[in-house]
Amino acid sequence: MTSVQNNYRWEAEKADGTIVTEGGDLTGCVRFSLVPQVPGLVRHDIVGVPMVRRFGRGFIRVMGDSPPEYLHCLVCPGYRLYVRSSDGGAMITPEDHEVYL
Amino acid sequence: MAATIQIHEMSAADTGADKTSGTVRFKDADNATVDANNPLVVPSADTIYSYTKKLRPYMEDAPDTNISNLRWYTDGNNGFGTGISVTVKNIGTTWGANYKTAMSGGEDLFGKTSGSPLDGDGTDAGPFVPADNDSYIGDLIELQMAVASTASNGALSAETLTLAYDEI
Repeated sequence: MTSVQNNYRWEAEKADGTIVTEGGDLTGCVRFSLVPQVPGLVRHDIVGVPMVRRFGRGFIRVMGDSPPEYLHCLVCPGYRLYVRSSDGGAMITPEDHEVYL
Repeated sequence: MAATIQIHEMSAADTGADKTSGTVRFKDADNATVDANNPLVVPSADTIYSYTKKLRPYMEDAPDTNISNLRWYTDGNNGFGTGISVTVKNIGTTWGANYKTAMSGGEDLFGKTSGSPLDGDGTDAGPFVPADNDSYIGDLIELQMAVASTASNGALSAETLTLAYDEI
């Protein structure tokens, strides 16, 4: 079974075609993709917008029955895109908004 | 692959058991076993305290670059009921034996919310890198349940404690 944080693989593409799969800086990238690694999840491709950086945010629990979750975050000028790794659901927030579940 | 971070219930400075998505049971004994033994008995007067519990994050699989911004929080609602409270504090990285006298300097666990979390890496500060794989990261946090004479008898429903972290 794939752990929730690995339900998606991310990659970005620079203007010269170079593929980026590590790190957080997305300056100069022209595409950011979240590629499903398990069946049933939708692929996300973000193109044609300026990008700043990306990060993941993990949520693990004890003492209760809430499941773990993992968010992929793309930071762009003026807004952020968060994608839930569990179901592929997305939300847009202001650029400085921190989502905690 | 993204990192795998676990929450361990600690029995010594660098020894613990994985309790991720599991249960940490407050009890009148110093062990991590989840069973019905050594329950906390509602006192006829005053307040009794559980043995303290210590939790710490563990890096099971390394990130590509680093892990940072460790923070602990609850939903802010104490569902344990009247007369039952839980205190928590960050004790850095120095191990101390568990005890069942009242914790000093602790704060209400349910006062720790996503908007006002308990910092998890103030002493053992991140970012935590691939070289930290298979080791404990961040600080120990210590928790203790208090049961007052006003509490009701019976088993309690679980409450959730969340550890959040950022990864690049």
